[in-house]
Amino acid sequence: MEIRNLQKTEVLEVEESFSSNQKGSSAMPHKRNPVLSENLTGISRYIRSGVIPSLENVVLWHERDISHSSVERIMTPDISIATDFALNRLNGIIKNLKVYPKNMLKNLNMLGGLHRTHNIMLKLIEKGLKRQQAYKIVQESAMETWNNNKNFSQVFQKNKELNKILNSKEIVKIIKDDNDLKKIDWIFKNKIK
Amino acid sequence: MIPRYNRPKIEKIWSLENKFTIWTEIECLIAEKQAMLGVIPKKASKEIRNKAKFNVKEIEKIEKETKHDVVAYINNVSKYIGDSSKYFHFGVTSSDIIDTSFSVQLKQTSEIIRKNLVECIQSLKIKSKKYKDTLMIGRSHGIHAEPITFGLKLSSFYFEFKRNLERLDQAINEISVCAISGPVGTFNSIDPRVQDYVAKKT
Repeated sequence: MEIRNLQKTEVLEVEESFSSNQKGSSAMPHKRNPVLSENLTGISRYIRSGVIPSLENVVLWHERDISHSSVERIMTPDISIATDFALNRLNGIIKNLKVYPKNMLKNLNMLGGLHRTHNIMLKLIEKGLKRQQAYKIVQESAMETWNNNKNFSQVFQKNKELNKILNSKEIVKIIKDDNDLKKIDWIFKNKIK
Repeated sequence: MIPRYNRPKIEKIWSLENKFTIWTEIECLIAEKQAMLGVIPKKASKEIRNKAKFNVKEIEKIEKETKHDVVAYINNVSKYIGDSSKYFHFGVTSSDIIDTSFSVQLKQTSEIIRKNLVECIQSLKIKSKKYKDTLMIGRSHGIHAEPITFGLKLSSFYFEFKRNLERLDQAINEISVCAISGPVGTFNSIDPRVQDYVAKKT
């Protein structure tokens, strides 16, 4: 699902591999669809459908009966085979996944730093504002950015109330700050071994 | 399953050939232990082990008359064993064989599934490390939230799959069960030590 979402044309941060002779559509030669991931979405639906007969199979009469047998015969092989296929395909998708860091950066910056509202608000609180005041100031600029399709950084620099507390340079600094990465290093160092 | 999604190793596990092979192994082990306990003659156990074989097509043909697959199987194998066949399937019931064999098939399947899962975990680990510093937007509700890296995103799947592996291992442990306890589980006609013996050997 994640790959399907990130492969949407408007997003295009990752893409399944697409071989040179592969065809995306019978009608539209331009198409490069996430068909492998879509296939896994479908197979997963089928696999999950096995939960109901499996649970119902627990119920037998007295010491036992044979009502569970047909489910075991039909479903267990099919679900096992489907799961094996799906996991193998998934591994292939992960291994061959195309990643587009430039598009990731472009999308990250498409609203001019809107993703830094939390850090700006915290900075305002540090400088002495109440949380509610800080929230209001930042939200006003954020809403102007959304409503008028503007650049958040520029909108913010023109926010008079804010400029009393933070100058343009400080605002840009917060927006460009990528301290987040340092803690991601910590996660990788300590949790992924 | 339709051929499109069938991979040969797992398909083989669920074949009739494999099922009857497991049944035969279980039946031979039962006879072996019963011979050790003096329930059946040692000679019979040896003969069962050496001569027991089956033919899937013949079993299917017999089943048309018996309308019972285990009886059809026993009749077919008995033909190959000869005289000692009276000690084949001695004191046990169909479910002893079917349920134990089903567990063996599930266990064989889980070995393949487990291997796949471990490979996925490995791939996710390699990729998440590769993209550890690749900056991107993190989204909540589908809407831009705060920055993350693509490696961090992948690492969440890595951790999830590691937990999936733990769950699979728990399930494998749960299904690894042998039941050789007679028609209603009382061991009326079978020594409980036979069950322990089969459990250890399968």
